[in-house]
Amino acid sequence: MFEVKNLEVRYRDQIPALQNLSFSLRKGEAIGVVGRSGAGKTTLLKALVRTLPRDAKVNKGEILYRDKSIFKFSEREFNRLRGKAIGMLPQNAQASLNPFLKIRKFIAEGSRRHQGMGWKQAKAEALKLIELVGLESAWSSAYPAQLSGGMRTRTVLAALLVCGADYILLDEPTSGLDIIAQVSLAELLNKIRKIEGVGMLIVSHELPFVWQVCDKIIMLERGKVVEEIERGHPGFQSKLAREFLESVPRINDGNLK
Amino acid sequence: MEARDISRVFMKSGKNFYAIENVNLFIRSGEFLGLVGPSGSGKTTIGRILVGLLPATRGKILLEGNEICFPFSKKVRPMLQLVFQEPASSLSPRLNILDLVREPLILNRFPADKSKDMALKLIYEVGLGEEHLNRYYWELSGGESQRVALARAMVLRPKIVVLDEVSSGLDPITAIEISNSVKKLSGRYGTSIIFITHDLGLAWSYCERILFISHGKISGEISEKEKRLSPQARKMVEVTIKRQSILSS
Repeated sequence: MFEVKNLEVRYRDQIPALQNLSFSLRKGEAIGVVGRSGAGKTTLLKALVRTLPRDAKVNKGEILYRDKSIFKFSEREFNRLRGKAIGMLPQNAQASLNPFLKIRKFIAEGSRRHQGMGWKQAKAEALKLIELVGLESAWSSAYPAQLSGGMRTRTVLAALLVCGADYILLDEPTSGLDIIAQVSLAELLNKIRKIEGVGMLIVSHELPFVWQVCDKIIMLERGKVVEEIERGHPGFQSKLAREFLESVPRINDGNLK
Repeated sequence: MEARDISRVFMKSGKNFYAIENVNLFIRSGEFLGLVGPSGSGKTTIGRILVGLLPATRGKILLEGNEICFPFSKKVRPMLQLVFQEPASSLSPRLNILDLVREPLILNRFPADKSKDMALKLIYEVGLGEEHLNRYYWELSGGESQRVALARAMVLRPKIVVLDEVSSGLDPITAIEISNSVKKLSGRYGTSIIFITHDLGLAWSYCERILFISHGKISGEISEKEKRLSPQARKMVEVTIKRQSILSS
């Protein structure tokens, strides 16, 4: 279990990027964090995997992984957890691809490194994942430069899943994905959650997407929680949540200008 | 502007692969045209061909009735602008915001004082303030740097601006603010906008006409007069409507 208690992160000892944030994430559970840009969403994910930039500091509070503070792990110990136990899909997923590796090999590297598989088995596993994330297997021998933005996001997601992490942290997984891909990604995440019992923390601007996947949504504004809502409970109350709902453009037959 | 039967062929594993195939489209002056389609459908390729960043393998591009050939001439290039999805990829980290917006004017030999006034006017029009002038794009938020890219594209008063997924990666509130700025500027300067997006809802709220692109071909069109949808385009409309119902519930 991941547990965040009264977390406060400050940049350059001044501006609080996160304040008084508490929640816990169990295996098989999915929590969505929604907010405008600059609300501290990415800072939260970076704090959870201990990759905060140098000018950012955890001032107060605690992050516990399996009841042990993550700050008490040595760098080496924590490095072993990254990828294998805690996976993260960064916001700019495309930058994490290796331009010199075909995508199948890129994905296979994850299972070799973290699951100790041989190349042959790892490549077969990679093919399975490529199909699972909805890429045609013909693309498995393509280089990242030959793929579209959405395909690259899916490749990185496949590389993340192949490591078999217990918890995955997704930073804006839908950016650059079209709506059909978003719906299939939501279905995919739900499937993984059910089958593998993975715990997920999803940071996103896309309220409908988060709604489809998560049991609980935390709305953040300037580092503070303005609303928490659980599935099955009555609708959003905060001004921020209502603004989010209203700003999603609607289509109907009448309003094409 | 008109594109007639344009195709772009890439070589993939020794075979010809059509990124776009026989695309015909036109855009009227001052029109807001949406290009909507799934990722990998060829939207960006069309946008790049239209502004002359990429040659079409086949087909013709006409601007005001005259054919323009790749590479586009110095006279034509300032009339066609493109704003990228990722503003960071097109903005210099060494120039401050004022200089970034001024650069296209200087390169096109506008006098110094006039270029400064024109740049300042546009910076204010896209919703940035005096406090931004001496900063750099990497000090700004995603939405703000996208505004800088927009000001830079509009400062030469182009005839056509292609916006390539400018709102993706932005929160919905910012996305609407940017789209409103585009609408305002396009109305003021009579610029035609080609709005490339995979967000049908956004295109629906701003565009007068929407073309659906799938597998490199135009698969549907929606406008006040016409509604013609292929099964893929229909699916996109249905999924978008279904998704809205999640929000309403």
